[in-house]
Amino acid sequence: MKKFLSLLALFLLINFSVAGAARLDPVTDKAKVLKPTEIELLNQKIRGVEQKHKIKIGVAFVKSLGGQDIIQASDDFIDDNFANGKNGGIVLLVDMESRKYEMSTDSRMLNIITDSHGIPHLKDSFQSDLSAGNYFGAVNNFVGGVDELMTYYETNGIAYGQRKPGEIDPMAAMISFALAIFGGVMIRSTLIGSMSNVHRAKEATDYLQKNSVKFLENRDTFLFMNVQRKPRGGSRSGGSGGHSSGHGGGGGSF
Amino acid sequence: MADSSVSYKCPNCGAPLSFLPGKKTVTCEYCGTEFEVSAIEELFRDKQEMAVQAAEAQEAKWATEDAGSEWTSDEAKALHAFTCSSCGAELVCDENTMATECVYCGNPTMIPKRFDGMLKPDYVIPFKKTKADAVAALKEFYKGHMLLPSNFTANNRVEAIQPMYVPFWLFDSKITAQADFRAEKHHVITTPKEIITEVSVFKCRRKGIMSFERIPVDGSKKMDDTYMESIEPFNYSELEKFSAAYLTGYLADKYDVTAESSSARADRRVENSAIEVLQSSLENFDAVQLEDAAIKKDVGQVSYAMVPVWILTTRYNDRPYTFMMNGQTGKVVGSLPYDKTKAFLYPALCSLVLMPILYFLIITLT
Repeated sequence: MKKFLSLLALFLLINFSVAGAARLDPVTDKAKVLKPTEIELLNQKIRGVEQKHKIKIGVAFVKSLGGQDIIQASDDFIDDNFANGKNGGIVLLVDMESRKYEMSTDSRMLNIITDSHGIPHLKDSFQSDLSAGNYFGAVNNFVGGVDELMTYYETNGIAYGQRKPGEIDPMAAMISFALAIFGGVMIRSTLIGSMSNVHRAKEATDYLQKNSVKFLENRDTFLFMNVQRKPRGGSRSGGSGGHSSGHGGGGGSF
Repeated sequence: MADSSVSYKCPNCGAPLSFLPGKKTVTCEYCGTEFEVSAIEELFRDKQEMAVQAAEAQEAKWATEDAGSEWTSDEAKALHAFTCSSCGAELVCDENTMATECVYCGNPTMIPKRFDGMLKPDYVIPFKKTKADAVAALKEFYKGHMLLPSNFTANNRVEAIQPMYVPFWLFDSKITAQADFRAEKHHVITTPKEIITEVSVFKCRRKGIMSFERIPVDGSKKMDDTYMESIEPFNYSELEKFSAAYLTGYLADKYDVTAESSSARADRRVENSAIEVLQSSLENFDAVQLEDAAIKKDVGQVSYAMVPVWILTTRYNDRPYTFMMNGQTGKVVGSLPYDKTKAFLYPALCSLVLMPILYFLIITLT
């Protein structure tokens, strides 16, 4: 019964009607971890950032997701409630039962706050506060981080962590240099090897009488089975699966 | 004094006879008369017997008449002198030479004494490729080697080119092979969250019988084993019953490595091939590893054959380079010199071209 109620609460939260989306405040605290004054302060701050950058930001704390995948839930949360920002939208969903959090960005925002650099930067800004139980500080820092990354994009014309056009990536340059040298060494050894065709004969297949081969025993005995499990890679960082098409994001545990 | 060697001369005009590559008969290049191999054998049988006796007579007094210093026993054993039946010159050759040509008059010369005390070859693969074929094949062999020094072909002269019948042992074997393999079947299941790989491990036993026919192993210490293995394979459909007449006009050595000593090389090759055959039945597995194998030879037979090889020697920067051509198929083998500057510049150029391409790929993929 308790689980059913939790699921119902989540359903109501993430499946708000389009008409209702306009009325949803930026911060939703179903887990009751924030004081009303803190919620009000955070709502004010988020609205300021939203207006400044013409984006949408949503934050939700839930008691439980009732077994639903947090990545899917965060994608649904942004699509249903925060997808109409001119420059994009971003949400932070925190599940208090599993102590997991997930950020989801829409198709416009994922080019400004990238999965490779922007999302890890945000995680660094608030994860320690989440772990310490300072939920107000965590959300405050999350919003501050979004503001910082948007300002960076507006100032530099490129997403945080991205190279300017024409700028060389030192790591990629080193790897390509090492691979090119390795390729050169292999080509050299192949070319030198081609100067001689004198080789020992290792087998006598040319002299095998093909029709003389007769198998007397063919026995396959099953011994054991090994099972290897590997998480599927995706666009997100630090979670257990990938965001749906047109979304970016990432999350973790606290 | 009787000659200790026999020159195969044309009974019609007296010119030297040669077995021309690609022909079934012995031909006189001067008057064009062709002789059946059996007719030549008949004709020169008496001469060969006389030559054997003369050679024995000479060997009896070998190493005692030297006015200067005594031959060492090893030298005396290795070197032997024969008189050329055409010009009377004394020929010196080593203990294994069966046929050669006189360095003074160029007359092809057989040394029948050398056929004694050793096995007579069972088969011979006659020469099919001529000297001109060998020179042309060598020039073709130079092509397509990017690191070949530019002046190698320009300054290159074929210093020596010799057709030689090389003694080969041909091993026939019927074997029973048994091997145990550790084999794996991989089954991959993809779920939204993870990739699950199930690896089923099996022990597979395979046992079978198979036959190998005429695995060639050279029986000459002088010939490099690796070169001789590299000029394979031979087309055994052209194998002929041995006759000394085939050797006329060519150098020929008798074996100085016994079949017993050579058998290990044939056994090694049979073992590798047998395991390959057994392993080929495990194609439905994703990974296979050999654990243990036992090969039992049920029947092993050996025959002795003379195989045609062209030996070509060139010189570059005061260093000799030897190439060998299969006198039947025309396959050329050898090691060419390489230009150290080219060997540095070409790969360096490739690296320079590769570097921006790789950089672009890495940037695009990450």
